[in-house]
Amino acid sequence: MLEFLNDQDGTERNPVILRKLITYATSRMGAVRASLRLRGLLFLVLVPTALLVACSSQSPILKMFFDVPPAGQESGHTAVVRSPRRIPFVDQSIPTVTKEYQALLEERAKEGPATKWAEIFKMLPKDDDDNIDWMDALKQKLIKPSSGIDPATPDGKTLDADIELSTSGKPDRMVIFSHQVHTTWLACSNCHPAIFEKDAGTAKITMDAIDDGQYCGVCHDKVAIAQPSGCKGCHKVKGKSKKT
Amino acid sequence: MTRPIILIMVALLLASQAIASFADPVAGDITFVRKTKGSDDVAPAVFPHWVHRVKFKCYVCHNKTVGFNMKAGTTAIDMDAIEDGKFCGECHKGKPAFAVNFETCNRCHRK
Repeated sequence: MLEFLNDQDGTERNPVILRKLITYATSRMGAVRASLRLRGLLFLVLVPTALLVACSSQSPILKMFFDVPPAGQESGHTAVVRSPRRIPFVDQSIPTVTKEYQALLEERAKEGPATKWAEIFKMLPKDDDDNIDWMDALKQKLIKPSSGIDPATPDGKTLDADIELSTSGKPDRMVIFSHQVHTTWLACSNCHPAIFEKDAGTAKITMDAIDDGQYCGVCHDKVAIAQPSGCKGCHKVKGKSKKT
Repeated sequence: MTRPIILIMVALLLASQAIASFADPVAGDITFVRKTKGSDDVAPAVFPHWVHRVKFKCYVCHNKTVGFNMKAGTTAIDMDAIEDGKFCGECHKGKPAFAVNFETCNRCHRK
């Protein structure tokens, strides 16, 4: 290849020129390589662009590369409903309001406000000792205590007999027991025969026994207070007035 | 959904205030003496006699069917009997009177 560089006699013509030629050739080779690289890049960009353009237009090239639905079926716009990939996490330790509890709350809200006991207490008549005067409340018809758990229950048996209990110390201050007052509240079996025998006069009732919680003292001065309070509630001067 | 809950809470608050306003005992109120052991952390039950007298005559409760004796402290009442519908449980089962449950403990068991 390098024959033209030599003379006929085979002596070297000029080594300097040769060296220059070689350097020139090598520099040209670099340029050729660079141009090849540029073409490659152009190829890489241009071919996909051409393909994209070809595919986006309604040309048979699209069908060559991709599965295209037939002409009548290409809807593709309805939402696809899929079941959740995982079940939503519910923390059992956090209480949730159930439908039954909700119903219960609504039922209670319908019942209305709670009974205003404070107002009822103020409304009830009081006696001289600031206790509730139950008989007065009954007479004024402020209360209507029912005779059974069911409000429609008819009233129990009442008795009108008064019993005169003579007192040993002061015969004028005898106690007159009114069955009528007691039977508006109580049934016969509440007192007879557990507290009092049925026959009048069989029990020896003393104030000491009453203070000890026997006989009248089972209820009186606890839940029932005779009017007026104190001795005069029971020891009325009725006997005296009868005599005169 | 939250509205009925708020209403209930307000109602309960008012009710508790109404109860608190009679802290002073009325004649006839009974504080039950605890005879069962093992639950000292619960206050003994208080029976407001007058509240019941407004609505009922004596013999509605003091009879053989309901079983309250006339003398205070002589009737053996416990929560098991009440939950079985005896004694207080005759009425306190929702209707006609409030039920016995964990929401209503302090309506009776209070100081």
